[in-house]
Amino acid sequence: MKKGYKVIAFTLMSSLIVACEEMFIEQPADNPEAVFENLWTSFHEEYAAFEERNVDWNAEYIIYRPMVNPNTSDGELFEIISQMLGKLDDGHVSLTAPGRDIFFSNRIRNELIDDELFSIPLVETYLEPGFKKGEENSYVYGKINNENVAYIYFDYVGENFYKLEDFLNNYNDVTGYIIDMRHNQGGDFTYCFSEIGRLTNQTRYVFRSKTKNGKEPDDYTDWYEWHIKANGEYVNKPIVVLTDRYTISAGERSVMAFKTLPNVTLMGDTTNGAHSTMIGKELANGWFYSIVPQKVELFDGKSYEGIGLAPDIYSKNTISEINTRIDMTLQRAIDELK
Amino acid sequence: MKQIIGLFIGLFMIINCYSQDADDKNSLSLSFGPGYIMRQDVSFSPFINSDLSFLNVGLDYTHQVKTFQKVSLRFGSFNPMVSKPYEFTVHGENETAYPHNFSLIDIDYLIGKAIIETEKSKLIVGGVLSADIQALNYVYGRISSFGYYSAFGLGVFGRHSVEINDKHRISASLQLPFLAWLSRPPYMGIDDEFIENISSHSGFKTLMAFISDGELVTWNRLQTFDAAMTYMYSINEKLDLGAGYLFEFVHANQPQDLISFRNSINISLTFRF
Repeated sequence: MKKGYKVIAFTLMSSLIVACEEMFIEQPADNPEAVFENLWTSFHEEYAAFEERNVDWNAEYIIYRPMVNPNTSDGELFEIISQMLGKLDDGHVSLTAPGRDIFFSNRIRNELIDDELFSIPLVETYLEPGFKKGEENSYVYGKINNENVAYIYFDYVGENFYKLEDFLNNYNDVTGYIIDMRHNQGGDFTYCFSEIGRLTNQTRYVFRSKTKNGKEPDDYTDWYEWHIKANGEYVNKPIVVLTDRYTISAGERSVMAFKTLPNVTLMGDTTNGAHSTMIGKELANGWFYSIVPQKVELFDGKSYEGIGLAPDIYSKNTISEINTRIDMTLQRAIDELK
Repeated sequence: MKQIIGLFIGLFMIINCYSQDADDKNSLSLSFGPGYIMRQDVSFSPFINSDLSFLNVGLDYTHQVKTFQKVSLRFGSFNPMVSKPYEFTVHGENETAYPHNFSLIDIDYLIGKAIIETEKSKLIVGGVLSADIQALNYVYGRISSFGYYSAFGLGVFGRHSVEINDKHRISASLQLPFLAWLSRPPYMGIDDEFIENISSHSGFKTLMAFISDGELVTWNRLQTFDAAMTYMYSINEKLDLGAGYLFEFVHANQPQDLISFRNSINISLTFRF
């Protein structure tokens, strides 16, 4: 009986494991050509913004595929793929590999162009003593020196947006608000949507989006509409929302929500133009990349992917202003609300 | 969803009423040991994410007189990665690429009767209610995606136990859910409904939203079973020491393929009362 059980157990285990291993879908191989093919195909089937970014992905294949062969080194492969992804100029597309600096497809993000034109320590010099700030500057808020204007900065879109309620309560007698979304790194836009309710007195349509749900070019979910809704005591005061080229992703979606409000003025530079949802993926050699499987249309029916949201009032700091401790864009916002 | 929960609760109550036996004979068993998972969820990765983990624990309560009843709770945690963890930089600042994290919880309720019983062996068959909940954190360097899998199933089980002598027993069992309320992420792992589900910013509400987005499936959409073998050594009248092997299999084909199998070896201590 005992021997019988052993035979049954061995047979069962062996047959189960063999049967299951055969059930797995074949994995991409770990060699330079297979890695390239896997990444290119993934973008071909899952990336949603070729049209918006005017990129012919098949043409990129013809350019870059011949550069890869079985002897291509890791360094060469990283460079080739980076060049190909760079054509997308997408703030949501990146490539990560061991021991290397992460590559961002968006040139502004990759080369940190004009990154130094925004400085939180400089912003803090505009605030009255006693201003509040979160860990690692997740938020900063306070009253502008000698002005009846309140200011709040969000580093990303997440739980830090819970501070919007405290901010509005603490400064309910000011003449206007500055909401600084410059250098906002993104996150989860639903935090903005859930916390913005006091700034609207009605439900407002913000944008709609759809996501890839198949390999074919037209395989998308139905459009899904997103709204902001009134919630709590309505605050109807002038608001200036500041943006720059580093306002990205959920930061931009939040700006879209602010843009629906009639009392909001957008000021600064155009946002990054990468606001569709991003996801991560992995490659056989352990590298990671990020990809965008979604399309977004603003309430005006237009896509701003690859374009960005233009401000109502353009303002861009200069390095000489920053060096002389002046945030001219913030100063213009203060002047606007005086 | 409400009908399914109602059906399960109703079934549970009927079974409970039916199984009010006198002369209770209970056992409580704690098990732990290594587990090896191989999991390929194409919504998140084309690769077979595999890992060997020692964080696998189980707790079983068994009540057996005229009917056999068992409540089983198992937890496993795995950290698979295509490569080894590595360092990379973001504009010169060091960051680390960590493995994914899979947390798997299985809760089963079994009730059955012996249909063949001899002096040395017993074959029990019956019904099983199972809840498999998996929280899957896929990490891709700086980016991560949350995946989930939950299946609340209804099915059958069979358990054959053999008493070799006064000290030694062995048993083999098979659980086979044939109907389940299955919840899985969308095709790309994310879409607007997924985002809507997390917009409550409450873990419990999000879990409920994910579950309620599921659908009733049969074996044409979800194939899953658990098979186990256990050897028990009786230390004394109250305590048993055991060693077991558990195999769990999951295959779902929509919205993209998920294939997972887990092999676990465990050592158990059983207290009879």
